[in-house]
Amino acid sequence: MLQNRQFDVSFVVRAAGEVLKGLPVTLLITAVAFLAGLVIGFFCAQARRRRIPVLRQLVAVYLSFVRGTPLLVQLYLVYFGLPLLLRRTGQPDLPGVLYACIAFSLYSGAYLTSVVQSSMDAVGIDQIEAGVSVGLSRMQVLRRVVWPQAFCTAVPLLGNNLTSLLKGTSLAFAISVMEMTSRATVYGASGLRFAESYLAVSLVYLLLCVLVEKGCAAAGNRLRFGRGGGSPHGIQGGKM
Amino acid sequence: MVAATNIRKSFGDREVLRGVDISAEKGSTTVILGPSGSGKTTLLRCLNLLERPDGGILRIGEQTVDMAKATRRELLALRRKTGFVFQQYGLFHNMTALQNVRLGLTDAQRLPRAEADARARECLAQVGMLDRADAYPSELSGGQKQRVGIARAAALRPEVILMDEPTSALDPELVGGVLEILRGLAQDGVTMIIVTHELAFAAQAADQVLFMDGGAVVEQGPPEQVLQNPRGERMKQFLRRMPEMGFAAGI
Ligand SMILES: Nc1ncnc2c1ncn2[C@@H]1O[C@H](COP(=O)(O)OP(=O)(O)OP(=O)(O)O)[C@@H](O)[C@H]1O
Ligand SMILES: [Mg+2]
Repeated sequence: MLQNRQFDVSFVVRAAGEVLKGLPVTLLITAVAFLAGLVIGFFCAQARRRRIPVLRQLVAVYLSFVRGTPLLVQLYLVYFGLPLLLRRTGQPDLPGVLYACIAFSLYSGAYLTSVVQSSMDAVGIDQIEAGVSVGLSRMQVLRRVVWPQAFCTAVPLLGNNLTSLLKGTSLAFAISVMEMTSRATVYGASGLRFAESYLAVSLVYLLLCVLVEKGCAAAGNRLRFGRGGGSPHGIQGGKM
Repeated sequence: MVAATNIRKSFGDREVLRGVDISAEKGSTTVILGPSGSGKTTLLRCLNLLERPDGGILRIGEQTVDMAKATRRELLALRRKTGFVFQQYGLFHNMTALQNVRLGLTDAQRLPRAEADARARECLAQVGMLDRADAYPSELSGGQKQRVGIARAAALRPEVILMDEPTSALDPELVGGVLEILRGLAQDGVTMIIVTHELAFAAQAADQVLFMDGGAVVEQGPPEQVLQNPRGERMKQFLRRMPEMGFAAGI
């Protein structure tokens, strides 16, 4: 029997305490993957927008690989594949959380590429020409006009991607990283109370996601330029 | 002053400007007329180098550049001697009216912040928009946006302000106010080249009128001559088709 028959509320509370010990790891993977993903996304979007030869094709392969394969498989691929490469160069094995960071960064980078690109594409050519017409250089137009407007468009999309990424990190349990879901599994097994411990961990994920959504809504409101706002609304975010 | 000679521009194998000459004295107002597709917008965009001409010589102020071999730096320097007013306003969505007007002063011309601020406010006051200085474009009417657009171009104190149909996106009742501002600028000695279909304005405020057709200037002269006594058949046809031609009863 894998699950006690009686639901035990106090176990939920104790499980939550245990799950929270995994919170720093979950947040670490999420933060690293999100920031690295933004950097990757930014460069890939530039390669695509400027149609840089070779780079653009490489980006296309990367994007279709990440989008066309399951995240769990990508995680395993990094976890089992990377050590082979590293051993060849004589490097020692790395901690599992590092593999998770690498895999999730590559994953979020692919999705954030389209966020960055679509947000920048949404800035009208008229805005760029207006910037040029007052004498700005290309770089100044990007800094003062394109990026602020693109960021405004991107905020809700970034929020969607951040919550999907946060939830996605639960797959790291598959490579034995002790993040929140792993802790819930181990603790649930210790008392044969999986329902209780998964309920506890789900509540923590829920709380975090609600916080992210509220934060993005607040940021979005602050960033709206005047009444109508400068960003097109109603664009649905890419799913992570 | 502005002097462009033999400006040529093609898109693919479509020749849009076939060697246009245009010159405007300092402080003068030039109106460009012409049927749709005759190349008016393309000419203005070539004059401020939003579009790079395939050939020709462009002189603005003291700088003369051969378009066939101009460097990026020369193009930027030349463009910085111009201001542009767009048909669809082209205000920066992410900036207030004041910030719109100030941006070119602080970032392109590198004026000290206080000076840029004072000049931007002065220019907003000139177009009657000082009280809306902190409004975003999304909070302004079309006429108000275009006033800010004009202030933004004027604040740069360029050698010439280029305007592409500055009133044609406006509701009829807003056109008068914007034209009033243009008359004011003309009186202040700002050099302007304006593409417009407002013939009454051309007749009253222009120092010279150019008529373009098929990518070339086919008629040119003071407004009384071009509007009342056009020589070419194309120009006569064009004027006959204009809705408000009561005033050019000469034809
Ligand atoms: N970027 C472009 N690519 C290809 N063709 C263009 C481009 N811009 C303009 N053209 C063509 O050049 C010709 C002149 O266009 P332009 O916009 O200068 O005309 P216009 O006189 O301003 O007309 P309108 O009165 O309708 O504004 C048109 O035939 C147009 O289709
Ligand atoms: Mg036009």
